[in-house]
Amino acid sequence: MENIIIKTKEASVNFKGFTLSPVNIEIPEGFIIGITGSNGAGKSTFLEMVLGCFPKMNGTVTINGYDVVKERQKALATIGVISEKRTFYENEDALKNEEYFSPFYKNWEKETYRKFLKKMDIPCIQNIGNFSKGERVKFQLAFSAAYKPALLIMDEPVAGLDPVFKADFFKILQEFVAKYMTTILISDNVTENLAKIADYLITIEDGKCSWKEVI
Amino acid sequence: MITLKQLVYKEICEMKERRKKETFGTYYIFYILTIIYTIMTPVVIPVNGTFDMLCIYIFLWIGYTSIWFLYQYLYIVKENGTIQNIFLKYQFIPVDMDTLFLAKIIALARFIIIHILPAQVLAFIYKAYCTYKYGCKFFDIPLFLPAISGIIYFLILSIIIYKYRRAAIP
Repeated sequence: MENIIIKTKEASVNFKGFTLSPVNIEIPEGFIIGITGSNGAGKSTFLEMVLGCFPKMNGTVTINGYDVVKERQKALATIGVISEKRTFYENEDALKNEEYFSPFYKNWEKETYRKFLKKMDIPCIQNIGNFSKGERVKFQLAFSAAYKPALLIMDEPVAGLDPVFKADFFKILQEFVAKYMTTILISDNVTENLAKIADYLITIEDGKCSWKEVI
Repeated sequence: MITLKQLVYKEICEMKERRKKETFGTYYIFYILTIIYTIMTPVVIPVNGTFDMLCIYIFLWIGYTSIWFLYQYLYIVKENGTIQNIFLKYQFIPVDMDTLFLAKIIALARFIIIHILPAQVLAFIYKAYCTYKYGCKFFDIPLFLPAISGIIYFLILSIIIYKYRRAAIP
């Protein structure tokens, strides 16, 4: 029987005049789920709802059995986030940021972190603020890999990046899933990008979600 | 998971490190100002007229400005030429925001006590001297000026930290 990582039950949110309609989905572990839709459709709002950023949301979202609003701390310990909204200490390097944030993760593995930093050519002594966009995305992935999350949430990680980087990045994601059975939730407004790697697609238009298997 | 005690200790150490880096060491100037506040405020306690009141206001203001400058790094971080809400750095980290807020408040109280306690002790000593020499009353409200000002500084900064915490929902 498949292990369900994400379960939503009538989950909806009304945020700044935008309404995300009730969503009922169950996502098993080890799959890549693409979230697609035009600009302003509600992709980021959907991901933030899954991350428990709306305490007053309707319905429930559970990740790995933890309610994202009532047990947010426990849920976040099993989630990796790659997003422009996720910030680190920009005036510090990768190792100093590890010093600041790793105590919050029970499963943090120093060797895995350093291994991923080296694998993705992330400079350890350069301030995060001086990273390019591509380096920043890879750094966030390396950071998440250190505590082996059950779920990886990515909000348009490859937007504005060149095709070579995209191909390389998607290959790393597929290796990640194969090795760690991590479920990946990745959004992009270009459906073709996601169709190459996703097992399922969630299309969001005007706050309404529809689910499709990618063949 | 990290305990409150560990979090308080972490906050204290990290704040000092970041402050040193972000101010390029110039925060020592404000440490000197707090020393001036600590030594001079008790001395102006025997209030005799408008000039003494003016001195009190000046030293209280020096005290507040210095303490605010030294400990603003509990709730902000200066990077890329802008001021960032430090709570936003933790929005996707598995830490309860209210516990983090409490840890920062405890750290703030600890820092303020370091400045206020010597000032209050000096106030007692100087007032005892004045009582002995001039026969004035020992216990009065101005005697507790350092403690009162410390409490006010703590409340103001706590409210500021709370506003920053609220800005970083949930």
